[in-house]
Amino acid sequence: MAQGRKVATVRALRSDEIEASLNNSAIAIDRDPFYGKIGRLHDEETARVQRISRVSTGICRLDLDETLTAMKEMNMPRCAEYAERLGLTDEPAFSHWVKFALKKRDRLLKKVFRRKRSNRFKYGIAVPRTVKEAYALDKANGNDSWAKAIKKEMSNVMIAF
Amino acid sequence: MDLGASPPDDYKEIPLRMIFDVKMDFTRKACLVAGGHLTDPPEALTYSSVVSRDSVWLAFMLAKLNGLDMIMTDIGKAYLNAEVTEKYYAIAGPEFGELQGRTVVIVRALYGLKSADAAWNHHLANELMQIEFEPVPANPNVWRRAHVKSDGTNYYE
Repeated sequence: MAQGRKVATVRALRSDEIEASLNNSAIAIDRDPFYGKIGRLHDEETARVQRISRVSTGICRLDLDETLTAMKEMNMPRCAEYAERLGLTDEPAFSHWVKFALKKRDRLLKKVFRRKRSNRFKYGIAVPRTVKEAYALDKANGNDSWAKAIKKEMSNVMIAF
Repeated sequence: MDLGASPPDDYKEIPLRMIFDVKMDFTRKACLVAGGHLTDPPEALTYSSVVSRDSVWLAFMLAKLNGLDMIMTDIGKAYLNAEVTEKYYAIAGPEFGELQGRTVVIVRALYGLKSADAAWNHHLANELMQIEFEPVPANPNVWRRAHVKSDGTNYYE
């Protein structure tokens, strides 16, 4: 426990460093044995108790607060994934929000995919994605609608080759 | 190119893709496009401007005030009229019929190429200048040509 002590952040990371840190899967994490598993910091100025963790990465020592806040604000789901990947989810600075952020990420992704308009059908007619699929649809429908369209397009566009 | 022939050295391969759609009258439509999003950005500027709506309205108003006829036209497959500056080739897919599997070199501004619109803009400007049209100083996308009416008065068309 580190109550009553203000731990100075080494420095705030620049946005490109944060991005590099989030992207780096081979980053080395060295947990600070001084703080152990639990760290609480009482900020006398703001009279707030802050949860802290101190981990050293290849870029900078992450001392909580400013750095972590910046990372969270920049991209919270990715920051949570990063913490999960490095096994930091039980650290005091992460444990109270990472699992909620990951759940939120899953919900947002589900919402996006639900909202995406399907373009497989138009006016009740199946629209192919590839030329092979177009020929297969013609075969299934017993006509040559898509084949005609392809032939017409190719007759126009052959000038480009 | 012949089957199995290697493409020119300074050319890069890009994919071709057929886009399908159904029109409102249920006519099937296919459009072959190049995968220009996979290519490097060209060194030259590829921005090409288009005419503003205000300029069109002004031109309509001037035509009406001067009693001029208005003609509307559309250029089909416009981009394919312009030669492309980028050097790309593709491998022909099943849509090419008996040419499938051959290497095809792209020589015209196929839809999807990064410089296609700029190539078409350049080509159209050259063609218009050849028939003595000139861009209006206030808007380079409005073109005019000095002409004489049947009653002898000068005007721009």
